[in-house]
Amino acid sequence: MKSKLKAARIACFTLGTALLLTALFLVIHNVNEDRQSGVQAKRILRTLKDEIPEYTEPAATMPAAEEYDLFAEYEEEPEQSQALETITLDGDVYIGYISIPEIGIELPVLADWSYPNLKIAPCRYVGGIDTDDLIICAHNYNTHFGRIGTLHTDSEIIFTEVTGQEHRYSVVNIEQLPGTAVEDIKFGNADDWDLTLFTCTLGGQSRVTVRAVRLEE
Amino acid sequence: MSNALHSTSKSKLHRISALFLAAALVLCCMAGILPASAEETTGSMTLRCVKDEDVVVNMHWQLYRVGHRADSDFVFEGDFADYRVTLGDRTKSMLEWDAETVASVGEALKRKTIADGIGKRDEGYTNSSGAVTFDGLEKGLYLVWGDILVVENKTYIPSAVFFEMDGETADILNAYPKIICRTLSDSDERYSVRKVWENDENQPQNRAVSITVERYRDNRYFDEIELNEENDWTYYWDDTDNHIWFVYEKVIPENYTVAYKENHTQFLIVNTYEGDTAETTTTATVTETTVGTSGTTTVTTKTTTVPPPSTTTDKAPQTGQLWWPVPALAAGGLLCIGVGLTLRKRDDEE
Repeated sequence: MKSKLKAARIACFTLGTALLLTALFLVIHNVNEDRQSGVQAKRILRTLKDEIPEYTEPAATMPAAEEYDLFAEYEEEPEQSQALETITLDGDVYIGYISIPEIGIELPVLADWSYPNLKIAPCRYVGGIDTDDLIICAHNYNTHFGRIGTLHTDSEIIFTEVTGQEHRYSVVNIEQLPGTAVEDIKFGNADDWDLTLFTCTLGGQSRVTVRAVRLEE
Repeated sequence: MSNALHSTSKSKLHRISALFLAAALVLCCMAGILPASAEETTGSMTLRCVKDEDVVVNMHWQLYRVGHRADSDFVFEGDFADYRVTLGDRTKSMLEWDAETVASVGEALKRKTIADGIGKRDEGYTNSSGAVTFDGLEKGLYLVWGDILVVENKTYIPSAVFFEMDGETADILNAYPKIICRTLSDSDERYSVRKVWENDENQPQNRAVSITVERYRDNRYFDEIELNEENDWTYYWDDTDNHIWFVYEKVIPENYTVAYKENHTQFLIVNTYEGDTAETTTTATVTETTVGTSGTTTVTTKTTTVPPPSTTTDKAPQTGQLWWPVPALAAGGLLCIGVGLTLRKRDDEE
């Protein structure tokens, strides 16, 4: 009987230690991944900023009748979300970078989302700047969108295109939506926002969704 | 005596008859002449050529009769018969068309006269006031266009004028043709021509597989090029010598009409489908093909457009790290150790 108790005791200690070590390993892995992603994003951002020209406002003068682009109206209409210009770095296509001063992040934004891309930087989920329906998703790393849930109404978000043009937004709403509520994330009160950011909650089942409207430029 | 009287009265009767006959003949002739003279009512067209402050003197203009109106329709005639240019609403007066359409018809007809070498009906030069008058114009449709005029370092390019003499209110017409003035420059110009299809979005099978476009330099034939799907119906060329260019669609695809638009460096050929919109048979044809002298150039920059993202999943991207097992593992581990400690305590007590 005593030996049985001893065996059970050893098993409990062993299992408990193993579980704690696994939890510790997971924490270290996550923290390390977070840190590495942050470092990588910073490096990419530096290069991206070097590539982005200084933005100059286009001339407001109307072109002379003879200078109108006759072919323009016959160009194939790109999908609305395709109207963004891009820069390719190391094979990855970027549409610009996003800054959220309040939580101290500044990150490049990839043109298209995929799981490998999400490990590098925030990604465009759908939409575009010109159509005021851009949605950006990112991992909930602390160095990415992990703290967007702490933003509040009127927090400022700045998106800078690869042309150098800045677009300023003000947060109007923060909510948690189920991960399956894709339509809500994409279209929810679409008239009321111009930019949406989202990331997973720690549990991974919901999405912290931040809606922002464009500020007068 | 009675014979003499009879003879005299007979002679009078003949004379009176002759007078009646003559009067009837005159009346008949007049009756025949009057409508004829009404048809031959003629009018005049005066062009006044002024560009900003410049009066354009000594510009050569040529006049063509291109058709007439019949049953509320425009009918081209002679060398212009069956030419399929894109017109405005034919049931309405040309004055009710928009200016761009009228100008486009004139330009297309002008190009045909040059391409086909059609003989002019009349010609004239602008006088010191910049005016030139064409008179004796019967009821009908006319085209008048002017040559390019170079004065010192300025080049005056007049637009063609397409007009109608309706024989009633338009006996005396005045027109102020649009005149473009270009200054000679040393810079290279890149020109382009593009062909587009209109009104056949649901019937692309009606489109020609390719079209042949003739290029004209300073109103003279230069060469011909082929436009097709492969070159995106577009062709580019460079010019360093300040030539004035235009393009001409050699064969207008069946059931289509043609219109030309242009700015300084771009030429657009618009083929509009005017056939039966319910038609579904394939009528695509290949027209003559000759490759031009210089090729196209693709300009590439570091910027590209974004392909549409793949968002067909029914769940938003999983953007979370694997955090949820941490508390579970930690709790499980602590529980196990707790149980182990309890067992140890019981063991010690025993």
